[in-house]
Amino acid sequence: MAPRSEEEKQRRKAEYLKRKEERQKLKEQEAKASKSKGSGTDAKKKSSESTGASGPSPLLALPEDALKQVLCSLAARDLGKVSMTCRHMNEALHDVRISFLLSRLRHSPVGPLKEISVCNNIDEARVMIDQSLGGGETGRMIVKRKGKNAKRKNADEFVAYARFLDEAVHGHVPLGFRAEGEKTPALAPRFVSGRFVSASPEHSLCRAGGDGQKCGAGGSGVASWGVGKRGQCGHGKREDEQEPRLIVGGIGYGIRIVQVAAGGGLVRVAHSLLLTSNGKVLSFGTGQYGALGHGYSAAKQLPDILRPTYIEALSHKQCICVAAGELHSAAVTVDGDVYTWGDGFCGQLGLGDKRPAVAPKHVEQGGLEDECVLSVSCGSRHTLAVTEDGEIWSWGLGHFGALGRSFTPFEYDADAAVVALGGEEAAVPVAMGHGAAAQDNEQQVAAEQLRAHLDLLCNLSLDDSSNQCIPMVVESLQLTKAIGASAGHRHSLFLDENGAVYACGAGRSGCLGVGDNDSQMYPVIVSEFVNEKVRIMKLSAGVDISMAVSTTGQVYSWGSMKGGRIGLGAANSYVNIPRRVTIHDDNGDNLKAVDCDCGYVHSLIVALNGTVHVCGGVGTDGKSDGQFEEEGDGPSSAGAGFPRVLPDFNLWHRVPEPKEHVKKEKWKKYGRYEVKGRSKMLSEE
Amino acid sequence: MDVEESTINLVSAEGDSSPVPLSVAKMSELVRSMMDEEAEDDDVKEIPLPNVKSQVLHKVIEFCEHHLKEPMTEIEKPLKSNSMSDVVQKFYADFVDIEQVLLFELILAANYMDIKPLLDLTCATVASMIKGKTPEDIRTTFNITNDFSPEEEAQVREENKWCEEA
Repeated sequence: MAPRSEEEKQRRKAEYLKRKEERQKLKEQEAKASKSKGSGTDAKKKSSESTGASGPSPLLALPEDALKQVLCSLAARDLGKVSMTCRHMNEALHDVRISFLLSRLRHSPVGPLKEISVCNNIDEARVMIDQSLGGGETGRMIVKRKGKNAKRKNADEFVAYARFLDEAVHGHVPLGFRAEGEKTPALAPRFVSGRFVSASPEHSLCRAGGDGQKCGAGGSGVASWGVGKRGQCGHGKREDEQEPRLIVGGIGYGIRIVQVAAGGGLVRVAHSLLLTSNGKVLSFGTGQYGALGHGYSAAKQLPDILRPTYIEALSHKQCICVAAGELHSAAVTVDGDVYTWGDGFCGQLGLGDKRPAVAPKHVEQGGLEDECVLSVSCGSRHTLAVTEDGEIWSWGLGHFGALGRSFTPFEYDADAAVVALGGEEAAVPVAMGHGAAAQDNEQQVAAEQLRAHLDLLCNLSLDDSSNQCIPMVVESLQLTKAIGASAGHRHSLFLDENGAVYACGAGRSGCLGVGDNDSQMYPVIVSEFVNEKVRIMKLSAGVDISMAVSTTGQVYSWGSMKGGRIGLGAANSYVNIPRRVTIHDDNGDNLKAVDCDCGYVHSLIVALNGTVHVCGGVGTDGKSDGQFEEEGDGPSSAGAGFPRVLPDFNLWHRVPEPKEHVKKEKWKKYGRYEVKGRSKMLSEE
Repeated sequence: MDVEESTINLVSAEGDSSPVPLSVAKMSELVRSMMDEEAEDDDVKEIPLPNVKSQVLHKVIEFCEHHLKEPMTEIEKPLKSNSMSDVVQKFYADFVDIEQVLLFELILAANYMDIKPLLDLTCATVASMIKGKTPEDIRTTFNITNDFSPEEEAQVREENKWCEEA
């Protein structure tokens, strides 16, 4: 054995010598470099990263192509910081623009949804950049900054746009905190609804840029519009808003909003949730059902809250995703836990009973507590969660098949009771007027049923052993890795890693998109997309309507078409296979889309240039609601029921769109009388 | 003869020549095109690389040899993590865990020899060194001097103010 170890020693020694030699060489080189460059080193330079190469920075000495590649690998946020270091980098940023945007929009072979290719070649990209940044004419982009005149007027908005693209196309949303044991900041889940816009049956929320003073810049604020009777618009009053209005106050200075969620039902209740980049959740709107999560007020009441308010119970948690349903809400923390609160009368809180929760509660039922949940979506009365392993978990009302799994019936079946009490279906034969004997018989049966249900009603408990109240995995989807899910009113949509869409639930108006109006108890694939080789990256389920955005930036929608609510016109009442929706800019050019969300009578589409397009509309104060009767003056002039762009509104613009300035005469109010200002009076004389 | 034919000598700036299998050498577009040009000439066994130092060349060859055995996973843009080990396999993460001078020389070599995966890896490494840092940190890391006039700096800062928020 001895000779072998001898050999080993020699080998190791040789290796050691070799390494020593290398090190020596390196040192020599360093010395050479520092000698040749000459100048003194930066005093601040850290010793660990000291390079020996002083004078010109190695970063600045890189050839153009390599520098481009370095900058393209960076997130937009870091890009901005690099541009702040010195002139050279600032100018380099201008040259790298096209290739940076191309690297974002073209073919990305990595990640769960391969082949995101919103545009394929450099020409397409140029067109898109012109549409988005205005090619320098709008003052949103400057080529050279000279003198003091250029200040403010021509702000360089490129980095803001790059940031929007990072979020919109790549779903790269860095948050302001780290998960335990992680070195890099946590990222928000990639495939969620409400990244930019969210639509409830009655109101809409949309991220927007503020002036940087009252409200954060470049898509970090939030605007709302629609019905505001319950304070769901967050402006501190119960008034309807016809057009997007920035929410000011309540959020705090320098806080960035990264996700919005508008919830509400068909019964004039609605609430809104906002997620900030530091993982906190704000809520406002209807308080009655506990969906705001603030608990009882001092007066033991659940008042409506008219301005965004932080949820205290979640203040020590760091959330990465929020969702709002009809009467309930949910959030996911960075550790993968799900919290739910609000009304649970159909088990939609997943807490094992039908009790409501006025403050967030950790869902610890059915094994979900052991899973690492990525994102959550709230439907009207059901909830879907997507785990890191690609499983879908569902809980809540299973009646229409919206859970996509089998379930045990509720102990007290509300639907059966409706029938027994002379509801819809029972009432029909009686009213039709059968023979007297038959009628007697029917009434007898009905009376017995009624008695049975009254019995049940008397013994009614909020405890319910049905597994609709417990999260359970959707087994029929286990063969595929799910990355996203959207819960609608009575149907659900699922997205798998290949961009295929699965649907289940009530098929009314063809909102499942499988070619008929039948309900499905278990998920079925939307074969239209498979046949057409379309891959989906964003999807949304509303009230009997559905919408999706493909990896190439096309919008598809299906379901009810009444009032042009899905942007396909209003000629027919429904469409049961996905159809393409086209959106245009002011010049009539087609635009690509990056996000969408459906409500009840309206839906929203976000275009690649940051504009928001509305299909249909919500009636506010009895004024124009965008329904097809009043529609027809859109810039697309394509007729009624097609998407129209929100004027003067852009998601990512750092500075709000300049509006026409109407000069008002200055009046001062003294007591009951309005008189002109003193100086005004003097000048008139 | 076969064995000899399938290797080629790459000559570094210092004049050291290192024999490299043909398949490895051909990962460099530069070498490939040089070989194609002189395909008729059977005697070509040496490729001079006057811009590449021996030490760097060794690293390049090490990378190419490994890349043939275990291709590198493609790097996602934008980078998701600060540490390269989260992005690529262990070998590659260790490979670029080197001093800054060598890293930048590797970039130059990869750019000159036109080896795309190496360029991807090294550029991404530099990006990972920038990621999440403040402008001041970036200046110190890469020894950049701030040459903005105070007004210019104020303006740039104003434009990118929101960058500094999380």
